[in-house]
Amino acid sequence: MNDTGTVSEQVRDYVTKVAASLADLPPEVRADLVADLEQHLTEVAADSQQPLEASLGAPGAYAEELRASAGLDDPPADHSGASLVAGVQRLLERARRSPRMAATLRLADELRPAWWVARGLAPAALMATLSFRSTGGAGWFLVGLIGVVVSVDVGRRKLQRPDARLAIAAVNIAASIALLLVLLEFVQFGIPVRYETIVEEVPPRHLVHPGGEPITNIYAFDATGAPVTGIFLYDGAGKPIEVRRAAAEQYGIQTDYERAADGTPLRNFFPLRQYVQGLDERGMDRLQPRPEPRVVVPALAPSPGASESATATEAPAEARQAEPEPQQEREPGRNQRPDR
Amino acid sequence: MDATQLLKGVLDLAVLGVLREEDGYGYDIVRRLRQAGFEDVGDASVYGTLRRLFAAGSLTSYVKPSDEGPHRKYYALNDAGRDHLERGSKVWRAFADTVDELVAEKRTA
Repeated sequence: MNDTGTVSEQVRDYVTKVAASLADLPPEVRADLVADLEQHLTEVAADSQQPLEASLGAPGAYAEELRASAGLDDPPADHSGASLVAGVQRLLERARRSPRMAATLRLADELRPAWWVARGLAPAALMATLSFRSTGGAGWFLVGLIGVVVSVDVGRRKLQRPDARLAIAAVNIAASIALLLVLLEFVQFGIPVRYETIVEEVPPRHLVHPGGEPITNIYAFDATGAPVTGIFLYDGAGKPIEVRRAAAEQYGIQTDYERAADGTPLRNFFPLRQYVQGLDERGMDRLQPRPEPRVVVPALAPSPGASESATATEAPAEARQAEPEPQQEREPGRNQRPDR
Repeated sequence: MDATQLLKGVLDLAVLGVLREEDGYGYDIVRRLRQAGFEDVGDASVYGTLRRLFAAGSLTSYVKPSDEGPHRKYYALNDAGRDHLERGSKVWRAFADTVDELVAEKRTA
């Protein structure tokens, strides 16, 4: 059961919509046509429990039927010439009057605010896709927000001046193109994501220092600083500690492994015999033995109750004089060669 | 071909005919037409026809105050309207007779 409050609301609403579909008519004609419509439809509504649209159909269709029966569809008596423009206009008029077209136009009307929002987001969206698909955070959000606010505000003002409307039309076209580009970007490349560089952890292919610097050879010295040669090295599990020639080859250093009795190369027999390209004493370019690194071994901490052996006192004394420096691989430094 | 198309041509006459019996207001006329047999006549069509006939000078209108409800706008035939109905009836009669003759099965003599 409809109560009078909602009935009159319904009726007024319906009449408004009917009048809207007749908006192309001259104001007096339209006014005359809908003059008694509200009262008439109130009677119709009072007679039935159904909502108005159920008994009468859609307002647009009602308006079309009304238009036809009121004789407004009749073409004017005189056609002003056979000009193409006039003909096209008449065609458009008739098309616009068809119920389907009216329904489509009404839908477009209702979607207009959504367009305003989309239009406002166009600059921010375009910026986002153009900056190589990395997310930008606050900057774009702000641009987007401002864009939407401005766009909706402009949309709500019903601008009348032709140049203003022209400007709006241009903006609409530009925004459409921008949004189309953004859409194409999505379609082609998928949703933009931030590309993170993933550093793949691969084990180094040869012996390296922590940090990755390759170890090209191993030289041994005892606590007095005397070089120790011809040693085999093994790790805690008994596995040979090998230095591959590839490590030294990067630097133009060639390795000639000592061979075992059965011919296999001994990659853990140090120091490796290595050669570099260089100038000999006569200035000729040939393979030279790789110079040994110059190192100074650190002094050992004095052990408590150290015996007064010559070696023991000598080594610390020597060590204190020399500069303690960590062993260096490639760079022959300022160190002195330790005395034996 | 359904009756709606046919009715469009003669709705004027139908409305005038209804009003000749008795004055009526919008929805009342719609009801009377439906009761007479035009069950599907559209409300908008009747309303529009009334406006047009009124604008053409075939109808007069007056507002009838009502105690229980809103004031209703009543339509009535005037002389021009009666004349319109008269002429229209003749045209219709001739038209209907022609159609009858055309669609009737011819009896062989």
